[in-house]
Amino acid sequence: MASSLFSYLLLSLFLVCLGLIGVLIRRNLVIMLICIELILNGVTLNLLAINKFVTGGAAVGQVVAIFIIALAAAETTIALALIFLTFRHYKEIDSEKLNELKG
Amino acid sequence: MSENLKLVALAVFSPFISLLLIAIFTRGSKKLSAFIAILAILISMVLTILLYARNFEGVRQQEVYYFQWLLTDYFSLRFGFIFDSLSLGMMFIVCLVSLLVHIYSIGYMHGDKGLARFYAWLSLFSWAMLVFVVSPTLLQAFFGWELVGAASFLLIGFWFHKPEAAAAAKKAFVMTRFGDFGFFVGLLILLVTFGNIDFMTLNQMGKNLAASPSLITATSLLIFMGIMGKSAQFPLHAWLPDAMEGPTPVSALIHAATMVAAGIYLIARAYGFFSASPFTMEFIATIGILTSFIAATIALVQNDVKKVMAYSTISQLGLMISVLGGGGYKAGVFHLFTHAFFKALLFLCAGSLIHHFNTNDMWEMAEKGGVRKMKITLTTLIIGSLALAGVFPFAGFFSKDAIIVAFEQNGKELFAYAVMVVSFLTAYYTFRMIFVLLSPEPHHEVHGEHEEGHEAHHGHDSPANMTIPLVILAVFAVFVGFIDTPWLGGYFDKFLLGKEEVEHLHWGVMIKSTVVVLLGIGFAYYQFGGKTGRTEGFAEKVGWIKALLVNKYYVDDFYFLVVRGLVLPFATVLNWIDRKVINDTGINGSGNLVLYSGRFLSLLMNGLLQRYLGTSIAILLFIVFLWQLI
Amino acid sequence: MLNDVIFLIFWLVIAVFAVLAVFLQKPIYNAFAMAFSIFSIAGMYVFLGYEFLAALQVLVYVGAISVAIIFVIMLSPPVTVSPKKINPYKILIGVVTSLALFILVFVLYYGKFFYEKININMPSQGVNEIGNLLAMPYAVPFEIISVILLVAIMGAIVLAKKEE
Repeated sequence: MASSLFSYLLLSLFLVCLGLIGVLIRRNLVIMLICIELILNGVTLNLLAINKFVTGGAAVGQVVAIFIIALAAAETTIALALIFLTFRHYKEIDSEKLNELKG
Repeated sequence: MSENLKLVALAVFSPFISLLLIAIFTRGSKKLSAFIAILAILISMVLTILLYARNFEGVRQQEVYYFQWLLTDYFSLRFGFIFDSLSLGMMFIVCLVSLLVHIYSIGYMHGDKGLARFYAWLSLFSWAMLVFVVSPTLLQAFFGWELVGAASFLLIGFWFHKPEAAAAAKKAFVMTRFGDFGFFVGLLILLVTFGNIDFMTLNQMGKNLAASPSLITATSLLIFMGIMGKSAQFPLHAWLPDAMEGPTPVSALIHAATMVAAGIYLIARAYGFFSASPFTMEFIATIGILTSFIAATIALVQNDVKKVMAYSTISQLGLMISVLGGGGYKAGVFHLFTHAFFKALLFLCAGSLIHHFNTNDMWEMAEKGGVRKMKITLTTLIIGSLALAGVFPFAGFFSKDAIIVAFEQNGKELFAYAVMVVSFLTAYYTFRMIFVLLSPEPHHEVHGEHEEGHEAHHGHDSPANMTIPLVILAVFAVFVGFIDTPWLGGYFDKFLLGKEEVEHLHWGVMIKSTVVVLLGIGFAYYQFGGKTGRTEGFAEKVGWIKALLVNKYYVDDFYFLVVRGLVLPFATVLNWIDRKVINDTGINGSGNLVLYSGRFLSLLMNGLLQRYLGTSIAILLFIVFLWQLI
Repeated sequence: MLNDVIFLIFWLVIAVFAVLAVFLQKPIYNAFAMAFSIFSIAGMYVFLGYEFLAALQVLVYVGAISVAIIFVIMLSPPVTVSPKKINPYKILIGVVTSLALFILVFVLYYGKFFYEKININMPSQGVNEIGNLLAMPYAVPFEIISVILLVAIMGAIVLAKKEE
């Protein structure tokens, strides 16, 4: 099983879908962020698995994965800063209460 | 452009400049507006006289000038001027009568608040009529036709705050519009089939193999429908008596001498075209003579001097149209010219009387008395009446005889006979009016007061600016007839047709017609002259005849029924469709649709982030799914 | 054989902890579950022969990102959800969308890869190669990533500053 591509792909798809459900259902902004991280990881896993199976583990795929990880880090930083700001302004981080765009 | 045509262009546009100046600049000043208008028409008159002097023997070679307005693959839109004897004659008449009416109006319309507007419309009309008579193409003639109709509407309804005047203007316009519809359809057919042809080509149409006889008949009849409207032929004649609500100078200019003559001119101008269809000519002749007779009978029972003149105009127009249909080109045009002079004269005299007595009714004028004191008006009135009745040597005599002769020469003896009957009636009703006006004054006390009032104002007669035009027209009415006689070398024939041979006098016809006319005058004198005190003529003795004539053959009632029964319900339905269907459903409906769908869609904007996200991803997946399927 | 068993264990750990990370109610629990799941993904990377990447994953995700998330969770208030206020439509959309994605991708793509197998023991390229690539030809993206990280740091500081 370790040598079949399918199991890796299934896992990554599973992670992505889980993350998607989480983003759409959870009301806490931070947990949404966690789920987004899950999605990103799922995608990275997908990429790396295919990299191994198609090119035998070339460095190129790893470099791309490095970039993805770095970007995820940067994005999380900013997202957390924004959540912090939201909390300071609205005193809430419940997405259903943050509906000023309504109407 | 030749010298002649340059003068024509100037003469035609002079009143237009006047219209522009009055409309833009001098609306506030009555005197200035009048001055500009009179100056403009004077310029046109002088130019026309100049043209006449240069072309005294008539214009032998027709001169045309075109300028290109629009050029497409299908047709070319050209406008321009035509100059020949017929145009010259018409220009002369239009300028002369218009000028005299302009001068007359200074006195008649004195003090009227809308004087500037009046002169503006007079200029508009003069320009429109001049454009019409120098039009080289049927299309341009149609433009002039419509413009003249618009000017007529504006002038009839000049005193627009009077409901009768407004109604009369509307009636005139709508009725002539109805005729113009026929004109337009005929014009369209010609345009589509042959393009923007000029009158010369149009007149050759009979020999043109491309035009089928049925096409010519159909289009000529349609165009004649327009002529029936504009020249007040039965059954589209009912607007003309109502148009007397307008000021009398307007009636003189438009509804006696020029606009109503436009139809006659058009037939004369397109004579080759109309002649190419024998059926149309028969139709024209029949309608003409029928109208003439009907109008003459109605005139027998009118009490309003202007109405008598109006019906008389309809009757005389009928004669002109009829003789043109019968083949008498020269007779029709000749009578058009003479009629313009004496009918304008008669209207202006009537205006003078109305201005003096403040009433239109001839019986009231007789009651008030003082008619005999208005020397100039009375004299010119009698001259005009003699000309209308057709007594030697006045103008009407010669032109009427020309008509009878033309009918006889073309083998239409029945028509000639009918003309005799009509001239009897004409003489009768004209002199009925004269003798009623001349009846000896019954109440001296009453008339004393009136004399004070009016004489303090004007003296015995109307002011000079009104009487001088009367005199000028009277001179024409007396002498113009002679141009068709051998004594003047058959001048009219030479001028109009270039005929060198001189026609001899037709003594038989002249004697017969004189006898008929004298009988008419005599009968009128017997019924109304002197101290008879009679108020009813022979026509009113028989009950059913009286009813028929007083109700104008029930034509107006018929129209009223049609309008009430057909037009108004139809209009109501259309109104309902317009309001309910188009407005409420269509316009308001589409607006409401946008509004409500906007409200509905704004429900989606709930500010809930996750819903947005979920929805967009779902849609994206859906699209991918569909894409994969394809 | 042993390979496969350990692989399966890792697989299950990742899956279970991911589920926990999504559905637990206390945010701290979610954060820890996420950290653990990502840790295990690093293990998965080792299976694929990416040692350097596994180390990087642990350092960055577990060491930095998860810590940051935990800090923010500690500073934020709890979000209470009373059962009767749960919006069914939201859950419906979420579940439907995810399921649709799953099925779509599975059926159209992954099903095809069911039978592909290779020799997993072949070594992947190592740090040497990665370093070579990062120096040339991927030097520019490398620098840009550095700039992005710098901007992110500065942005976070500016955004979170106390207003004066």
